[in-house]
Amino acid sequence: MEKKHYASKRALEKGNRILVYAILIVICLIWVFPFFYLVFQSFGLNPNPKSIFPGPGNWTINNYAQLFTNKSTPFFSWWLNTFIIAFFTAALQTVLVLMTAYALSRLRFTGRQALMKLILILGMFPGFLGMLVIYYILKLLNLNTSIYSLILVYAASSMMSYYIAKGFFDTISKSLDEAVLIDGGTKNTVFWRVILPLSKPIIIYTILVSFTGPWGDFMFGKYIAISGGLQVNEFTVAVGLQYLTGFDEYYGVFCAGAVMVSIPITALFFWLQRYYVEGIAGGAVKG
Amino acid sequence: MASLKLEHIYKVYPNGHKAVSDFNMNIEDGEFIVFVGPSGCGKSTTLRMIAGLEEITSGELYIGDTLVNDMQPKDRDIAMVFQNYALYPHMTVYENMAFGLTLRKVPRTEIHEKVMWAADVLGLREYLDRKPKAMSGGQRQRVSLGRAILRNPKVMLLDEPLSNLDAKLRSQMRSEISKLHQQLKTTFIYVTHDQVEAMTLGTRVVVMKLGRVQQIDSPQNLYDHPINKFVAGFIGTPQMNFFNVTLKEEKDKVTVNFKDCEQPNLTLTKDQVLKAEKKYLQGDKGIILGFRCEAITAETELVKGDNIVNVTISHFEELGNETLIYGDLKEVSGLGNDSTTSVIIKATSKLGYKPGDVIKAKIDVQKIHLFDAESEMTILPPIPEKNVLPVDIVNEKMNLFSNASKPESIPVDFVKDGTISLPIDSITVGKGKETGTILKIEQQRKEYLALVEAGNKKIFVLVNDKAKVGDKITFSVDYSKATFRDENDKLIASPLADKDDISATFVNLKTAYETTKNESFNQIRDQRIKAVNDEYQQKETEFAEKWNKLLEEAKVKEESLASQADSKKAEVLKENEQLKLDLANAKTKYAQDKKECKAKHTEIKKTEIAKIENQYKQMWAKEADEYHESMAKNKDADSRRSRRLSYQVFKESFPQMKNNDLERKTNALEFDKETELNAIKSQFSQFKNFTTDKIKQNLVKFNEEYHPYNALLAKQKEELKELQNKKKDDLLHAELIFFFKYEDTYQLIPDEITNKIIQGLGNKVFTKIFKIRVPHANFIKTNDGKEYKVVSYVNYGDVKMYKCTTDCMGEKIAIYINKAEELEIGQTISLLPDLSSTEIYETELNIRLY
Repeated sequence: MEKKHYASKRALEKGNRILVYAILIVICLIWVFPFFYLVFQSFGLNPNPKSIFPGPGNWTINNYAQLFTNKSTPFFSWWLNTFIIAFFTAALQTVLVLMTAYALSRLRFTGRQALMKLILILGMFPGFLGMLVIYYILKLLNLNTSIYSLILVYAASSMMSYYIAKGFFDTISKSLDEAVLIDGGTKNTVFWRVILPLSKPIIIYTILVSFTGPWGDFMFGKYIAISGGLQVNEFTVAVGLQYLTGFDEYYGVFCAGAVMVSIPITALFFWLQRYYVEGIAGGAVKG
Repeated sequence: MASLKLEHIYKVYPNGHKAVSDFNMNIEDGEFIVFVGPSGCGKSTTLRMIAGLEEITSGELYIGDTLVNDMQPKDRDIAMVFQNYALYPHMTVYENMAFGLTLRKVPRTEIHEKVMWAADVLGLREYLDRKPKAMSGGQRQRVSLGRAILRNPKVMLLDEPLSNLDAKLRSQMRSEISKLHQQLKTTFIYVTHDQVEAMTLGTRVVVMKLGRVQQIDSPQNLYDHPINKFVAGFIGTPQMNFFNVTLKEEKDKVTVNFKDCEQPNLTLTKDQVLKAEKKYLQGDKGIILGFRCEAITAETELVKGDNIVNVTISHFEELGNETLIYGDLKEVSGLGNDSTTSVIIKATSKLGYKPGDVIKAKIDVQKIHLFDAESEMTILPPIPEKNVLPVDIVNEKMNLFSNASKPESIPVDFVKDGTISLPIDSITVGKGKETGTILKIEQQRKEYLALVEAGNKKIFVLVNDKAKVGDKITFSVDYSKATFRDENDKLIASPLADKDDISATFVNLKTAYETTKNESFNQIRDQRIKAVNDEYQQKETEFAEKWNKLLEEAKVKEESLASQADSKKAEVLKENEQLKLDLANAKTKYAQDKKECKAKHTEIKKTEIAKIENQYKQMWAKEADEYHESMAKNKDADSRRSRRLSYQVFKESFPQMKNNDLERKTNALEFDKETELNAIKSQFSQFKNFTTDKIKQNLVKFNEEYHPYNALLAKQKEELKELQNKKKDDLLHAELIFFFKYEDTYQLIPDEITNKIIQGLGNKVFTKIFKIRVPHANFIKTNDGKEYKVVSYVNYGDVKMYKCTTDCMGEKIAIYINKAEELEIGQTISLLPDLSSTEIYETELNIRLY
């Protein structure tokens, strides 16, 4: 009697697990399908959007070659533009976000609560609602003719995403700050020499997020490109790829470009991942 | 090493919560002070205010002789140990301890010496290359102590340092802290909620409750002479026994009647309650009797004579060397314990009793404490507040001690007799017309209390340390502080407040000038500005002279050395080249060492893991073999089933077990690796720091020696800037003058007082009303003061005063002034308080500002 119950429970658990894995595999397939489709298409000789594989004898790397050599699709310029924009935005944004988060986590000043609420409410509006205003401001500063003004646009509103960093800083014991103050440091010492070394995971996270944002953004890039009347080689990758979709013959090139776009992000992630060690704060205070 | 002074410290939070109220204390150099109290009593807040982590709302805090209210924590030269250690997790123990000195730019060799010293003192030498997470709680707290002591701070602050440790470690660390204090001789301030820590560590203990200091005393005094019921109950385990009683004075004794239970009365001698006020001895006032568990005994051979009560035993607590008997003075059945009658008795054993027994116990009345049931203050204070004496009226005159000078202020025309109450500070020994003989002297901390017989009365007075029993003394009585009641307890004369209160508002120069158009106010400001300007003009000339001379000398020296400079420079550069080369070599060696260390540990890890894997493989095989063997041999169904099940369990838990073991091993190896790597790293970084310092110093030294002019010029610029900034500050201060406004009169406030008021209230000063409490003798007659009308002349025996009135904020207020000169009744005089000898309060929150 007892034995039977034991066995049936085990069988049930096994069945359950099979079901769960089956569902997960299906979801996973659906999820990665577009990516593989894109990769295969980028290696196709004759673009055929209707079949996944290019078909035997149709494999080629010509699309990639064309991407970098064809003067009318200056992919390398786009890639470089985007990289510069994303790099500087990430640097600026990381510093801004971490500093904002630290200030809102540790300092008590008048209007702190109000400011946090205001940022929360402002964050609820879609970013492009401010496009018109941003355009006029850029025009006023005479910046609307350069794609690099995007750095300013992205970085300006970046500190709105301070929440996660603040949440992390809140978990670091305040007595560490106090210990530094008594040891002879200032708030600056606390931030740069104690809080930051303890916040590697959140710094990595912030860098990743603030790099991928500008890297994949299309809306503002297109906006500046149109309103500033930019040349084709001044585009960002997103705008450039969209430009490619306007020509049927560039279909394969477009796919190749899309694959190339994903490379820096992947590389960045793998490079930073090794610093992404959790539990770095262990032993700070009694835990 | 320094003394500390806390004067009227308040902490009020923005929501109006008073965390600390009127904290006053002098802490001497080298003392070990413990703040103790239940949670929320403000002890930690006080400590944090001393540390500078919390702002002081009002009051003054001195470390040494420096006012530190507005000083940054880092400038106060204090060190603090936190409850949760607050070690920097990303630094090794060495770096943790060195961090403070690094920030203070102490030379590296000195830091190294000090870290080594602190590590030796605390036994941390072998842990220096570890990170905090690889250490136990006790070790971490020791690192935290080390970090604190190595700066040799003026004051060590410890905020519940032991509460995160387990009981055994706690007592060990307690003795270590105690030893540390003896060794360092620094002032320690220690916060705890544990009264055992307070009693064992402190030279003096501050008991706090709800933000107020209850008592500051040595542990023994706290135990023996608690000032109120709270302290009595808080200090000592088990808690003191408390009972509601009344006291009744009889012929030659005082009896204690239990109120809540039927028990025989206790008897006290009259001498024992000499310090108690008479009102407590009438038999109608509620009194709380307290005695500790060792002041009552149930040992049969000791229970005889008086003061025996009947106790019903409820249960025992056996502690090994002694037994606590829990009982009740009421005869109760079962568990219905009434807290106002329950009692704890300390005994050597159970004494053969069992729960429910009614036994006799004797109270040692020499060791009892008596508290007022309402105020909960002791009725036997070490120094009684006042003497209450019966007065006979003879010929419409008071007959108190003698027939010497009698106050006219107490109208005794229609009174037969009554009682007079004289506060102890109203009696001054050494002058005056009354005489008496000292019967007894006792020392209370720094004061000497004497019982004096004067006339047919006995009074308590304070004398100096030279007085002896039997001495004849003279004394005077200030009757302005006396209370007189007639035989029907009707109030005839009440004491005059020792200070007069006047209200004022705080105004700035502009307001004062606009309302009065008094040019002299502006003149004061101009004079102050001129004084500052004059002062700095002189300073600037001196400065220019001094530096011109220095610079000229430097120039001459530089020129004379110019010929040697080039060759010397080449020498220095060569030496630096060599140092750089050494550094580069060390760097490659460091990289190599690191690599080797890593490789070594990878190897170790590999073999260790293989070992464990192997071990588990064997275990698996062995278990399988055993199982199959026993299954083959055994035919009994039950045991077969149990064997099968146990095999099943083994198979299921096997991977987890293996994983756990592997993880444990990897973690341990990881720690070892990290420690070793840290050691290599710190060795290299020490060398690197030393070398780069040396390179820099070589250049600096060369420049100082051969190009002194530039260095001096830079220094001069710096000092000049400092001087100019100081001048700017002083000018700004000179311009800021403030006044107290009494109705239509303005009084200039001295800078010292202004600073304190503004410090306490910030920019809210202008909206507040201030209460200024002026001693009677400190009104000054001036021309531009407030007008008072002299109403009457009052004779208080040895003290004589004039009563004056004036209108203030729509009310008629009266003040009493004590002046040597004769004043006419009805005359109008113009007076201002001497602000330096007054107390100034803010009325809304009732905070003392000065």
